[in-house]
Parts: sequence; structure tokens; C-alpha cells
Amino acid sequence: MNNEMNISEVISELDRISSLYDQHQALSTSMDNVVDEKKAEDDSFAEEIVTTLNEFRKKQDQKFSAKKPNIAPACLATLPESPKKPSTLNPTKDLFIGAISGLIMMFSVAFWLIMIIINPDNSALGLVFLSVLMMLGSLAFWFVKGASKVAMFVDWQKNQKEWKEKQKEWETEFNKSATKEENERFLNEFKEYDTCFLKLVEVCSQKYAEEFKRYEAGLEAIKEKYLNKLEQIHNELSKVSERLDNVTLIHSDLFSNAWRISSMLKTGRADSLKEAINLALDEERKDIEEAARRAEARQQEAILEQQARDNRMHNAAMQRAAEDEARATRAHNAAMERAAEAQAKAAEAQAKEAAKQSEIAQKQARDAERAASARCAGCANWSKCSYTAKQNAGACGAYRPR
Amino acid sequence: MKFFYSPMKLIELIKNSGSIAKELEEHGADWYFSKEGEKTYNDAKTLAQKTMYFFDYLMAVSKSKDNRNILYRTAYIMANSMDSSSLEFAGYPNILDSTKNPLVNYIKTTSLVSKETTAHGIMMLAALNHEDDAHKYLNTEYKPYTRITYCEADGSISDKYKIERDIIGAFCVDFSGQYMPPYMYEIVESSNDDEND
Repeated sequence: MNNEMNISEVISELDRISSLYDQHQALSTSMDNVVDEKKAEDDSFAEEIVTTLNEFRKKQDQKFSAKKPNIAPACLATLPESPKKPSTLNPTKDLFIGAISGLIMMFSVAFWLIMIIINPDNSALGLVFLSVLMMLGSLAFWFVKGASKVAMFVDWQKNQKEWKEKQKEWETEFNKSATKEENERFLNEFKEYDTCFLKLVEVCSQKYAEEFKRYEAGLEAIKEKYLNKLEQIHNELSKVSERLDNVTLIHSDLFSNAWRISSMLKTGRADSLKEAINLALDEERKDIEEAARRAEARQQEAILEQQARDNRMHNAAMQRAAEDEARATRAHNAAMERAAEAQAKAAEAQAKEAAKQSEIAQKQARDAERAASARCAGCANWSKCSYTAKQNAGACGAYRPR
Repeated sequence: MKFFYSPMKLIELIKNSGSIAKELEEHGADWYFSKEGEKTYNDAKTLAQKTMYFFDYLMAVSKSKDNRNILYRTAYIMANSMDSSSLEFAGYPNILDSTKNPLVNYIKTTSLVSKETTAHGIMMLAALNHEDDAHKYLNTEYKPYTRITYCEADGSISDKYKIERDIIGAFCVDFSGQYMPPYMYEIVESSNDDEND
């Protein structure tokens, strides 16, 4: 009897603990919800402040009147690029070689021409020979080396002259723009730009300070609003926690299983508190495992479902590809058939034409034969010809009219 | 290629061989620090001549010579505002000295591959102000507009102001936004200047 009373007292106590625990959990959740609500309201208020500030900034940007200062474009126009220099290690030497070889070449040719014109007698043959040698030698040197060296410098001089003219034009344009007044204008424009920009910063900073004050005040108001709620919940939670702290029947770690332990005793599955606790923990472990197994099964199902979806999509794509291929094959076959038909028709027409031509040729042959036979019959040698010859009257060459 | 030249042309070439050889001479960086280089600097009286002189020098010292646009604009800034200032890099030979002139140092040490003039301008601005982090002139978190010089209270402007504005005017106006760097400001930002340094 005492045991049964103890058990019923234990069950009541366990039910009380379970109820307190549920209350505690509900109050904690409620507190979390209030905190989340407060955070959401804080964030929303902050967003409103930021939006207000950004819109204010946009309006200020539209009012910004100073134009971007700029240096006169002529001052920023890059210098014309100088011409590529002749690639030579010793320009003086190359120039001399080129120019002098050119002069020697001209002199040699002139000398040779003079020798030809004056046409000296045999005593001056040596001179003539020399002139020819000089001319050929100097010409060869000029064409192989001298001309290229001279051309190199002459081309460069020409390009250099053009470049100097461009540079002079650039300098003229530059000097027109790079005046003291132009520089002052540029700096004054910048001063104005600086003033406008710093004014914009000042105005926006003031607005920022105002809004920041409003933001702080707003946050304070929100905090006040939720503080009372939180205090209330906190007080209730404290009372429930105090009551739970005074529980001595079971350890605080078992509060969440109090209902389970109570159920074990109520249903008679356990005879003692200790047994009920062990069974409750066992059941809890099984529930956790079952929940984990179900979660894994759901995950597996989701994976399989995804795989099945992927397969369906893949199959649909393959089917579409096969249909497209079949359609393409049919179209190809139809085209081949039509081509074959057309070919056959053409062949038929050709055959008809050939037959027609053959008929005509045969008729012509018959007519020629008839004509030949008639001619043969009218030939003076007809009685002397053999049968075979008379059959080949068209090939006869011995016709003689009667 | 031509093969026939008049004898007068050939004689002219021989006569002018000295001046041609002189014109073909490549002036390395050292030449600009020689007596002849100094004389050429002193002979450059107009802004255009000075700009050309500095441009040739920068072409001689630059790592990459393809980006002539950047070199030219730098030469212009050197001629227009840096050379005649009262700062440490003014005058000959300091204006050419990379240890004194941060823009020359930038040209000497940077590969000018990028065609983005604004990027080069920002880096030169940072170099001028001895700032290692050029991104502070672009990132609104660091209030870039506070990193440049402004007019004095009486409206007068300093040499540094002129040089900075030349850099911004030459390089950053290509920027397509409403406000060219470093004039960048976000209204929703920290009010504490040093917070992000």
C-alpha cells in the first residue's frame, strides 16, 4: 500500500515536473520570438533610415552644379611619335660609305662614257679598261651596299622633316592652349568644384547626423517597447525555473523525460522509479534512432526521386533526339526516293528519246537502202553483180547508169 | 628603294653627317644629368619645350615605352606644376631624380601595361602624398576626398594643390561616373575618420 501510494505520489510529482518543464520551454521559445521580433523591427527601422539617407543623397547629386574641370585637350594631346631611327651602330661611317660610293659610282660611269665618246686609239686601251673596271666595280658596290645605306638616311631625313613639322603644329596648338589664363581657369574651376563637393559632403553629413540621432532614438523606443514584454516573460520564466530548481525527485537532465517516466509507471511497464527512468531513457534513445532513420530514409527518397527525375529528363531528351533522327532519316529517304524517281523519269525520257532516235536512224537506213537498191536496179552492171553485192548496194562504188 | 640620287644630295649628306649623327644619338637616362642634358633643360623656356624635354626623359627611364599617353601626361604635370614649385623636387636635377620626384619613381618602377588612365592617376596621387595604399583614394570607406589638399581659408592655393589637381585633371577626368576619384563620398558611412585606417 505504501509502495502504491509512493508510486502514485511519484507519478503526480512527475506529471507536475513535466508540466513545469513544458511551461519553461514555452516561455523560452516565447522569449526567443520576442527577441527575433525586436531584431526584425530594428533591421526594418535601420533600412528605412538608410533609404531616407540614400534618397537625400540622390537629390543632392541632382543639385550638384559644378562641372568637371578639364585641362585643355590640346595640352593633353600626346606628342607625335618620332620616326624609327636607321638601325646602324656607326651612322657617320655608314653615311660616308654610302654617299662616297655613290659619288664614285657617278664619276666612274662618267669617266667610262667619256672614254667611249672620245674613242681613244690603242695607246689608251689601258685607260678604257680601267674605266670599265672602275665603272663595274663601283656600280656593283653601289647596288649591293651603298644605295641601301643612302636610302636609309634619306628616308629617315624625310620622315624626320615630316615629324618636325607635326611637332611644330603640336607645339603651336599647345602654346595656344597652355596659357597662364587657361591654367588659372582650370584651377578656378577646380576651386569651384571643391567648394560644391565639400558643401555636398557637409550637407549630407548633417543629414546623416540627424538621421543617426533619429535612429538611436528609434532603437531606444523599440527597446523600451520590447523590454516590458521581455521582463514579463523573464519573471514568469524565473518563477518556473525556481520551481524546477526545487525538484528533488529526478535529476534536472531528466526533466524532458518526466512525462515518459510517468507513463512507464502509469502503464505498469515499470515497478520502480529507477526502472522507469531506464526504460524511458531506452525509449528516448530508440525514438532518436527512429527519427534519425526516418530522416535518412527521407533523404534517400529525395535522392532517388531526384535520380528518377534526372532519368526521366534524360530519357525524354534521348527520345526527342531519336525522334529527331528518325524524322531526319525519313526526310532524307524521301529526298533520296524523289531523287531516284526523278532519275528514273530522266532515264525513261532518255530511253524514249534514244528509241525515237533509233527509229529515225532505222527509217533513214531503210530509206537509204531502198534508194541504193533502186539505184542498183538502174545500174548497167546490175546483171554482173553478185547477190551479196546487190544486198550491199549502199556500199557499192561501181555504179554506172544505163 | 631608290638607286639614283643627285650628286648634290650625296654631297649634302656628307656635309650634314655630323648633325645627322647627333640627331640619331640615343640619349640614355644619364645624358639628362650631364652638362649637355642640363643645357638642354635650361634652353627649354616654354611649357611645350619643357614638356617635350621631360617626355623624352621619361621615355628613356620608363620600363614600358608603349603607353606614351601616360608618359606624356606625366611630363605635362612635371612641366606645368612640379618644376616651378617650391617643393623638394622642383628645379634641375631634382625634377628628374627618382628619389626626390615620386612621379618619376612611379614611371621608373611601374610596368605601364594598363591603359586605364584613372588607375595610374590614383597611384600617382598616392605616391605624391607618400601613401602606400592607393586604394584609399578609391574606397569610400577611407574618405578619399580628405586625402588631398584644398585651398587655404583666404582662397590661396599651394603648390601641392596645383600638382594634385593637374594629376586629377590629366588622369581622372576620363572616369565616367558623376564624381571623379578621389571625390567620392557615401552618405551611409562611418563618421570616424580613423576607424578604417
